[in-house]
Amino acid sequence: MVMKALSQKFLPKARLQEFKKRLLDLGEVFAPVQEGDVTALRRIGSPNEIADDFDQTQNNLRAIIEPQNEIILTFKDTLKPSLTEQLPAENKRIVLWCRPCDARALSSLDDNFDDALLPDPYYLRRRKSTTIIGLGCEKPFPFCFCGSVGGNPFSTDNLDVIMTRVRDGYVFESLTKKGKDLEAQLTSLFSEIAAEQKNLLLEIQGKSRTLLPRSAPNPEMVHANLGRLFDSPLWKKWGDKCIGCGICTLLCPTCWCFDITDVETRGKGFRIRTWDSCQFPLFTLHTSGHNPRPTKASRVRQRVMHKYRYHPVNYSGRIACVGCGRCTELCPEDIDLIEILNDIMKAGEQQ
Amino acid sequence: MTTTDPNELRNAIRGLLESKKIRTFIGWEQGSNAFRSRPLFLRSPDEVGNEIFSPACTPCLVRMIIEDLRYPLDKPDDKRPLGIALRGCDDKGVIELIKDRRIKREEVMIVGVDCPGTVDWTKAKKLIKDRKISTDDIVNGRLIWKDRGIAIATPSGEISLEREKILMSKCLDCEGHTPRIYDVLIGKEDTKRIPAEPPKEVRELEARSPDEKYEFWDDVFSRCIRCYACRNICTYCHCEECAVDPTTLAIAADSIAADKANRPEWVGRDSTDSSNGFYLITRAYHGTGRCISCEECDRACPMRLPLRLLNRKVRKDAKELFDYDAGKSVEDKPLLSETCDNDPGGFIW
Amino acid sequence: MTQTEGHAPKVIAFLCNWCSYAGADLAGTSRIQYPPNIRIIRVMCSARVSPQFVLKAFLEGADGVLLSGCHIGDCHYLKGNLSARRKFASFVNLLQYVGIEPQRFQMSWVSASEGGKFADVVTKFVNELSGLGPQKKLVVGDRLDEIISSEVPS
Repeated sequence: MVMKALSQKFLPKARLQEFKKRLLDLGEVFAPVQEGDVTALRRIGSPNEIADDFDQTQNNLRAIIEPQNEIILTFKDTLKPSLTEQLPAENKRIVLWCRPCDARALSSLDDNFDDALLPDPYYLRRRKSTTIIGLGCEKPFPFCFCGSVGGNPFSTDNLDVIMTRVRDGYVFESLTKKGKDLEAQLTSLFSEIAAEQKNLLLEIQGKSRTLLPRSAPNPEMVHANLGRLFDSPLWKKWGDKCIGCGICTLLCPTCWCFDITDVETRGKGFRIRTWDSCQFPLFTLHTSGHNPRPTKASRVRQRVMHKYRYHPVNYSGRIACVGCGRCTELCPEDIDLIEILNDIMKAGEQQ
Repeated sequence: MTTTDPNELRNAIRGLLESKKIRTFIGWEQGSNAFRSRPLFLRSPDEVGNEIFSPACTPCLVRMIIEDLRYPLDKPDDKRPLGIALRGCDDKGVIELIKDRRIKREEVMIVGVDCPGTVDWTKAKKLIKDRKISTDDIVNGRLIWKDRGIAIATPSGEISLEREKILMSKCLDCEGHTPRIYDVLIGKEDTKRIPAEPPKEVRELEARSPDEKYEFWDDVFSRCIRCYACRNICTYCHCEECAVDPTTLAIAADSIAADKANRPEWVGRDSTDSSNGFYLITRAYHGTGRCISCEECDRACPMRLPLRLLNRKVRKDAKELFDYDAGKSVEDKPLLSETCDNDPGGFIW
Repeated sequence: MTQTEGHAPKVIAFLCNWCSYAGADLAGTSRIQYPPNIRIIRVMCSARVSPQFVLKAFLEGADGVLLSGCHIGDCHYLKGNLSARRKFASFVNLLQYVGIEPQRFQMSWVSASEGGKFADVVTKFVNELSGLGPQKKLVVGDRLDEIISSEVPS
């Protein structure tokens, strides 16, 4: 959804460096960093670490709000253990320039972690203390299909601010109270936005939708078809190609599965939450030795079902896919989610 | 240019399927765009039309043989061989699997093809940006080999792509276009075999000081997300229980509690630098004498870690220390399962 | 025994039961002095030790690792030490390639009657190690402080 901004300002290119420096004064800053051939969202220490012109980041907001390694307890002296809970500090965190689809994905994570009965304090502390500045996608990436799943290259869901690159600088639009507060702290950097820049912004926003390279079948229809396709041979067709690496789930912005293990070393240790993946063969292994998902077909089915069937059934119809395309692009065997969805539509029609 | 005619290849596969000599043929189909392809499993002659052979055929299909061992493609009582398309670099992977006694030669029916080189998607993305290649051409174009390079064939003409800027780095150091073992070869045999040279990057890294080396590798270890894609796509990683993956320690219905509790866990599930280092170093070590430098690990890595620098290193050491080449002959014994009186020992006090 | 800046290196020594362990024992009964920094793990044969043991030792806080077995030709299991020699010829290169200082891992052949040699090996190893300081490159929980963002009493 594209919300109307609370206010629009202009950040001239000449003040960009200062803008980045000031953010660093305000809190922990996470921004896209170039690492060899890829870009990743990382905590930065200086403005020069931020990549100028960057690709889709390999990781996404999950790395910031539900980090891959999160120590939740430490203990000293294993003979007389004393436990210390390690809740994240409520430091101010600012994410600079995440893409709208990645921010939109947070809704799926909120569905799970921001639960009325069992809220996750680790996730929520980080979530609440993070201000997210998005960067509008003037040119979507080769695997993007956000438009097909209710998204938009300029979606404002879960963003506090959205910036758009225009001639000579950036448009800075505050969307929430957090965004407005941030704007107030940086107010000396902005100029008033000119009508010409507003028009350019509308032009860029309009054009971006036409630049989406891919489109997928209607997710609601996929959802409906999936109800009948549990035993379809299409899952083995794709499962045979899969190597079970888990990249699709580890870098999916709506995924959140984790494992909790205890590590003891030299008389002290920690309890750590780490990312897990339903694509790993023993993800569902019971201590009895039974594994309800023993085949790659069953695991591939699980991933697609979770995103397009089970999550929406459990959480008021929200499709847990934002069309970022990472699962397809990063799959070493090029398993194409859109082709799977097409197969689902075909199989659904035949039933 | 390739001497393999894709139609001839399809006919050969059709023949094998019609004669029911094989249970499944593993080939390639066009993937999510012009530059990409994925494994294709053919079981009936009428599906063969989807089989392609082009510069997009990057994935090494040998991995699918290992996948079939664990997750059978066909019914267990079907004892016919698996058909597979192999290029010049792939045959070494099959030879290693035979040496490791995971498969027998007669369990695969090899259709050799002449491969002049396949594309690297990461390089392709850069090229797409630099040359401003249109979305339509990216999605609907088709890659062809042309002279010594590659081109995208589109309705409006061909777009040539420079060899160095698009091919996998291993293809730029190709040892030979066609496989040495095969049952049928589609195309002409490439008789010149160029011995593998360790890349300059390995030698350059070896020359640095310990702290400089560590700085390089710690940066790599810190970016690893332990997806295990490098291991899962590897042609030599076929262990049922992986020593460096605490999630693969299998439990059966009759495992006793003591058994489950006492399993050694070499490394934890956290993806911090040292744990990742343990994983990557151990996996590289396990490849000594077995790694064929297919560089699939490098390609599969979502963080684009330079894993080929680890594997090329162990391959170089196997050659220099023991004059051993992985994937050379099924008659060779696995490197680390044999010993020799003349093995280097100068490092021992 | 030399120590740098008060740091006493921790050395894990894998000794084969038949030769090196007996040799270490002999050094003890002969009252030959050698640095006390080593902690001995007895294995039946040097072949038992895989490179993972060495890496794991580093991960758990070892500053140096020694592996000692029978001389070539004397292995109680005939060829175990040959296997260890081959494995580690390759592994020492890899270990150094990732930046672990060459002085941190060492193999030796020490027979049951070479109490003196054992003491020499340990002394030489610890001396070379002492100049390097603690091993910080591969340690479990190395990013503990960064991963923990605050201490909140439970």
